[in-house]
Amino acid sequence: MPEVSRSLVAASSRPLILAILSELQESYGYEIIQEVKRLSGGVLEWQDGMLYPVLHRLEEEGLIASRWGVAENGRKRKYYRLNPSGLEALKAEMAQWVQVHQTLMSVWNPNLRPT
Amino acid sequence: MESQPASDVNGLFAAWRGHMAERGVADEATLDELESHLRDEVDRLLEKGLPERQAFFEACIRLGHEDALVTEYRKANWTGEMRQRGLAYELNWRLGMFRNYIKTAIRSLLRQKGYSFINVAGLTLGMACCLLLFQYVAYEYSFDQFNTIRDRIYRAVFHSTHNGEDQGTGANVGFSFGPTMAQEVPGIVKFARVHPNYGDAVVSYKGPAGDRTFKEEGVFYVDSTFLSMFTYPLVKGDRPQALRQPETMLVSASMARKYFGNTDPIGKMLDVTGWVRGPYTVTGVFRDVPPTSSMQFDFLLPMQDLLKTGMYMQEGADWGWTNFTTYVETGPSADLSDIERKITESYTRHRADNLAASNTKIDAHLQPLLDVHLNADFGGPGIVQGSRKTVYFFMVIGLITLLIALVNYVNLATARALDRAKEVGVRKVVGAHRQQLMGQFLLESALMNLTALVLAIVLALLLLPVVNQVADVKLTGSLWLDARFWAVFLGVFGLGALLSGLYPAFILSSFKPVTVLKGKAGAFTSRVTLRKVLVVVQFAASITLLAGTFIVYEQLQYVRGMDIGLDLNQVLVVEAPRVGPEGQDRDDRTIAMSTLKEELRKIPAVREIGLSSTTPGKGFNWYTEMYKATDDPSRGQPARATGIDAHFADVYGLEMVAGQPFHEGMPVPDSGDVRVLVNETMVKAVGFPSNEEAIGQGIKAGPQPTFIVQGVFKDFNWSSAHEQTEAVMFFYQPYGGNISMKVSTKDLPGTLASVQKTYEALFPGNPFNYYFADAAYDAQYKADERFATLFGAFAGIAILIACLGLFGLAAFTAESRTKEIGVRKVLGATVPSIVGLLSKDFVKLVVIALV
Repeated sequence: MPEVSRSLVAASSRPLILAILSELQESYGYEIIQEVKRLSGGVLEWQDGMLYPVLHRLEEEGLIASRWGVAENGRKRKYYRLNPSGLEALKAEMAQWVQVHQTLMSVWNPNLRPT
Repeated sequence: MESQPASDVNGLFAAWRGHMAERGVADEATLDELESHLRDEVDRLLEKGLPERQAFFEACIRLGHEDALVTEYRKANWTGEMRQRGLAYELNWRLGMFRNYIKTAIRSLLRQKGYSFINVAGLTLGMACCLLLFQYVAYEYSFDQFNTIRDRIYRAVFHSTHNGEDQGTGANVGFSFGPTMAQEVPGIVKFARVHPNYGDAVVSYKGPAGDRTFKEEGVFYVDSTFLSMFTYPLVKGDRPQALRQPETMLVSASMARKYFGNTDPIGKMLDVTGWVRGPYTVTGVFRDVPPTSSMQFDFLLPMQDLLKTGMYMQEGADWGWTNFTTYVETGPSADLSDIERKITESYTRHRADNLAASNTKIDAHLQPLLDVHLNADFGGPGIVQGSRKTVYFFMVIGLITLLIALVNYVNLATARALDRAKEVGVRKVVGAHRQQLMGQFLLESALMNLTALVLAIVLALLLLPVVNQVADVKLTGSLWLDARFWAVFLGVFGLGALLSGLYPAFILSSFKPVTVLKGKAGAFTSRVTLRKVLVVVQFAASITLLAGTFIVYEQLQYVRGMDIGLDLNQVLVVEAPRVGPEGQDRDDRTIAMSTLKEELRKIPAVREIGLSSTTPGKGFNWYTEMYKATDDPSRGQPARATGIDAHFADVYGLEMVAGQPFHEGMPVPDSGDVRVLVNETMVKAVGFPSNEEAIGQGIKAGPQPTFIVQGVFKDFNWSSAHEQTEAVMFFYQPYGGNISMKVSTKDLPGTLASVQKTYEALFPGNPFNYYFADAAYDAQYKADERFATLFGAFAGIAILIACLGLFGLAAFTAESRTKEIGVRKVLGATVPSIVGLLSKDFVKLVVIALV
């Protein structure tokens, strides 16, 4: 599988996180990362630490909300869940990506195979 | 990730937290979250079977580059805070960032002290040169700019063609030209004639505190319109009335101080002995003439007085004695070519007979006032002459020097790139954009250039007096205050800094991190060729300059070593007494000079004494054209003449090759034929077949008198050896101006004292001025010397800069090849051989440049 460029990784981070949160209802940082790695089959390699600033920004924008909880192993953990505005944002992002995808599909020559 | 190893994993976490806090991620909640993440990861790795410490470090690495994390957090936090606090905060933040960049730039420069120093030194030298040169150029171009109506003032110049041959252009004209043109040519509003007192005048003030007598060189005779055309403001006196009355004069402020001290000069009388003689009343004081005036004078006397002297009352003097310069003022929108045509037509009409007789054609032109100083092709009396060509020349040299300095900078910066490649690589990995990097490097370049600029200004200011001395100009710091100067200079500087910083910045920021971190310098070898080319160019330019200097010096030496046919050694010249008792005529003067000669001969150290009106290296009495008495005047050739006595030839070692010398007591006829001595060039010029056949023949400069050739001297170089030997005629003049004495070198001060005593006893009221003939002759080469010195200075500086650059490169190369050197040493190479190896490359480059 090809390596994905940094800009694509960065661009897809927001919709990905929002989507995962909408699936899992509530999750924490470590789990989200594992989900991303699982879903993309290892293609989307995130630097783990880069997730958290994105989460913080999403929180500041009011798209997700957080709470501190205690995990099974007794450690403190910050949990996140999707806000209504977050859901809206997710839908908007999805629409954009679909649009882009369709445009590219219509332009690309079906005979050209991706390397 | 760089935490201290601790037996306890918790200890590791604590250390990690502390470290992150130091790096700026201080928010407890954030740290908690990250720590929680880390611990989860560590657990997972422990399950896989990794030992504790390893699991911890592995988890840290997976977390990502610390720098990136920190930056991202900072970014996120700043954004939040910014939104809270608004624009002022943003500005503050940006300023802080900028300050950060500067700090980094300074730190990086200081880290490479040696390289920075060399670069700044080279840049400083180049910039200082440029600054001084710009000053010089501006100075030369600023001559006469202070005149308010400078755009409407022109100097009349005349281009003459003799027998179809171009004779050049000059400003000399007779005194009738001005008034005639003002009358006949409608475009001319005003005219002013200027006549310097060729040679110096003796000015004397008989005051209550005693006499003050001096020889003055700045005496000018001008029309009263002079002051209304030119801007020489009066500090005392009535401008409209100035110079309208005969026997009145204006003096400069410093002359007023010199003669009258602090008392009021108005109404006081000065005795003037020059082309006019007599008492003059001071009716005004003018501000000292600025050094950027092409006419330099200290005394202004009325033209009308000069025109009443014997010489100018002669018939034919009104057009014939071309010792005047005429300036005209035109109306606001004058048709120059039309005026020129009318002038030519009028001139030709008035001089028709004369021009036809000598087969000469005259073309008149109006030379703009601002062109006078710079145009060295037009000659003219009483002008401080500069040369446009010289100015251009030095401008070019200045720019070349600056170029060399900038090339230097580029070279060194690129060379250091390898050292910084690792730094660049790491930065790129951490996420710095290429623009950021370029910005950083440009900033460093700007800082270095700025430092160099400041130092250059200081250096230039310090060197200003030296330059003034050497180049014989008067640059003042006043130029620094001119805004235009700064605009131009900073523009050039900015451009230079930008361009020179751009290239290294470009190179440095283009490194691919992978290539660099892996240690490959491959991407970078192609630049080496460019560097070599630059070095070669640098050296080639510098060496050319050096070669040029050698050539100029050699020429100078050659010219000075040439046999000039005159013996100037140990010849003391005392300037002739000018002031004598009332009613002294020529005969009286002859007797007085004879007496002087006898008295002087009594001094044992004086071996020979001769008199002459001018001395070698100081020009002639007459500049005219001469032809055989039997020839048509149109065959006239340029000739010079001066008066000598019977002993002059002995003093200067002139060799006679035909005929008889002058003898003491020869008659000096008032009319009829005059016996003269000539040189070989004169014989050839007027067309005698041989020296012997010239004896007894007549030559003429005009209808009267006829000069009979009595003897012929072997050729000599009276004027600088640069010029061709002139055709010279000597006429007998026993009352001549300058007393030349061949003295023995023993006890010169004593000899001088005796001579002075004798002189002053016989000619009281005359200042005692003397000089040595060889020094006076050499003074002709002053201009050449000056040029050679300046040229040499610049070549030297250019080479210095280039050497600095080379040194920097060499030092750096040595550094970067330390590994190689180490290996070679281990293998048994000796120190000299290593030195040779390293220098080989550079010597090759220099040799190429030499070629």
